[in-house]
Parts: sequence; structure tokens; C-alpha cells
Amino acid sequence: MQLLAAIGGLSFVAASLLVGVRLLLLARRTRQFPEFAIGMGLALMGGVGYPLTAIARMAPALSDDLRVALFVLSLALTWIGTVLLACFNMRVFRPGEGWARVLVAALAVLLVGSFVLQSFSPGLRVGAFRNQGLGLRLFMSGLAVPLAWGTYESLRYWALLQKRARLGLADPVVADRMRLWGIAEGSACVINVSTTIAALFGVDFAVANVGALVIAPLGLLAAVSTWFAFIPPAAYLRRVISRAAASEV
Amino acid sequence: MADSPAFAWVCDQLQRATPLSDLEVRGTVRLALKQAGLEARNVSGAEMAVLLDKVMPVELQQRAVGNATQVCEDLASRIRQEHFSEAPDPKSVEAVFRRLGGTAS
Repeated sequence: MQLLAAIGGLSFVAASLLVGVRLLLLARRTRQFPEFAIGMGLALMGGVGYPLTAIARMAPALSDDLRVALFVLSLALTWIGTVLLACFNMRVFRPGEGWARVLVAALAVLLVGSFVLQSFSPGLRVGAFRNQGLGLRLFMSGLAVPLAWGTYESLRYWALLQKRARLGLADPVVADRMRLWGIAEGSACVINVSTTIAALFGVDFAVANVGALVIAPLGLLAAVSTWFAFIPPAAYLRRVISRAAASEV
Repeated sequence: MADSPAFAWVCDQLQRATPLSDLEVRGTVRLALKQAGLEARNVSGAEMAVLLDKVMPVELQQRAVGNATQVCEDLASRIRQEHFSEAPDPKSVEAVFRRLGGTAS
């Protein structure tokens, strides 16, 4: 069962890292903020932060100080990635809307505040080694905010573009990219929320069988959706285009 | 937010060509836009032409406008000759997601 979870988790890490780097290379070319934000967010949250947390928690061979340092580094990178994903949602889907700016700022402050809370009580060691502490729970809950927000916005826009595509007014490949990104974010959000809820009841998803049942399929789904959204195979694109052509009015 | 020039143009022309009131025309066009996944604030002339071809005739017939198909055909061909000040927005959601696939917008 743990092997399944590892496959789901590792595929998610690999897809986040590779797609994140590809989007950062794209950002270097286009000099646009959205591709930088989403690329860096993916790479830092899923590609680096998530595996660093796992190493800090499940590598007793390392010294305690190194494990705590890795844990703190993972939280710092995850903080940057989470805020960047929220900025992506704000800039792309809600430009110029005051509530979106307030939400991003509040999220950034909540994450810093929860880190400080964890540092004071029960301490970073407890968080790193035993996955416990109110601050850590709040921090992990905060990660779900840009994921849930992005899921809603992407799927809402996908629904709009699907209608336009039926009239030949939108690119079906772009519409499908939004659908896949919505699925990827939604899967990551469900993993995050269920892990947090389970931890509140003392169940550690990283080592429990029930955790594997959630992490394995959803991790794999998030990985495949992310990959197909941004680096789609040619055969898949042909299928999307021919399906759209068949449904055109 | 203000409505697009193409939206305003179509509403104005429909009000002249049909017995519908200003309010009825705007409501009808907005419903058609919703069906097509478009928005009054940024719909373009080209999109409006497709809407007039494919969606509006049925909407007008449902409101007992007699020569709906003819009216829509006429407006569609006329709006294609109009030049609204429209430039593609590189910051639109669609443009951003197109770029994310590696295609320049």
C-alpha cells in the first residue's frame, strides 16, 4: 500500500518539478508574470517543498538539526510557492478586484503567523518529526486556499470556453488546458484537505494505509493532468481537436 | 463595467429593426451571450457576427419577431463591415492559458 502512495506522490513531485521548470523557461522567454508565478509555484510547492517535508519526517538517519533545517526550508519554499499561486489566480482571473488582493495578502500573513505559532508552541521539532502542532495545521490548511480558488476559477472559465468552442469562437486546446489545470489543482487540494483533517484526528497520511488510498490515485491524477495541460502529447491534442470539431454547431 | 462597442451596436440596430424595446433587446442579447459563453463587456464584432448567425435567430423567434432570420443575417453581414476599436488583450485568461501551452499570443 505504501508503494502505491509512493508512486502517486513521486509522480506528483516529478510532474510538478518538470512542468514548473518548463514554465519558468517559458517565462524567461516571454517576460510575463503569470508563467513565472505558476511555474515557480509548481516547482517550489510540489517539486521541492513537498519532498523536503517527507525527507525531514521520514529520514531518521539524518541528524535532528538537519531534519529541522530541511523542514523549515520546505515551509519557506512552500510559502513562496503558495503565495505565487495565489498571485497567479489574482492576476489572471481577478485583475483589479480588491477582494482578491486582500485574500492574497491575508493568506501570506496567515502562513507566516502559523509558522511563528508553531515555532513557539509546540516547536518546529514536533512539527518536523511528529507532524503535530496547531501552527502546522493552520499552515497546511492555508495551502488549500489558492488550490481551491484556482480550481473554481479554472473550471468556471473552462465551462465558458467550452460554450464558445462549440460556436468556433474558442480554441478547444486552451479550453482543455483549463479543465486539466482545474483537475490538477482540485486533486492537490483534496489531498491537502484530507491530510489536514486526518492529522486533526491523529492519523498520519504519510504512513497510514488510508492515506495511501487517497494520495496514490489523486497524486497520479494531479501529475497526469498537470503534464497533459502543459506538455500534452501530440496524439492527445489531436483527440481534443477532433472531439471539439465533432461537437461544433 | 461598460458594455463593448459591438454589444451596444447590435442592441441599437436590433431596436430599430424589431418591435422589441431597449430593455427587451438588451436582455435578449445578454441571454444569447450567456448561451455562447461570452460577456457584454468584452464581446468583439467578430464574435457578435457568429452570435447573430448561430444563436440570435432562435432567441428572436422565441420573442415573436417575425423576420428574425433575415434581420440577423442582415446585421451579421453589416457588423462584419464595422470597425470597432478592438485589440486582442494579452492579459486575458484565454491569452495567458494559450501562452502556457508554449504558444505566443
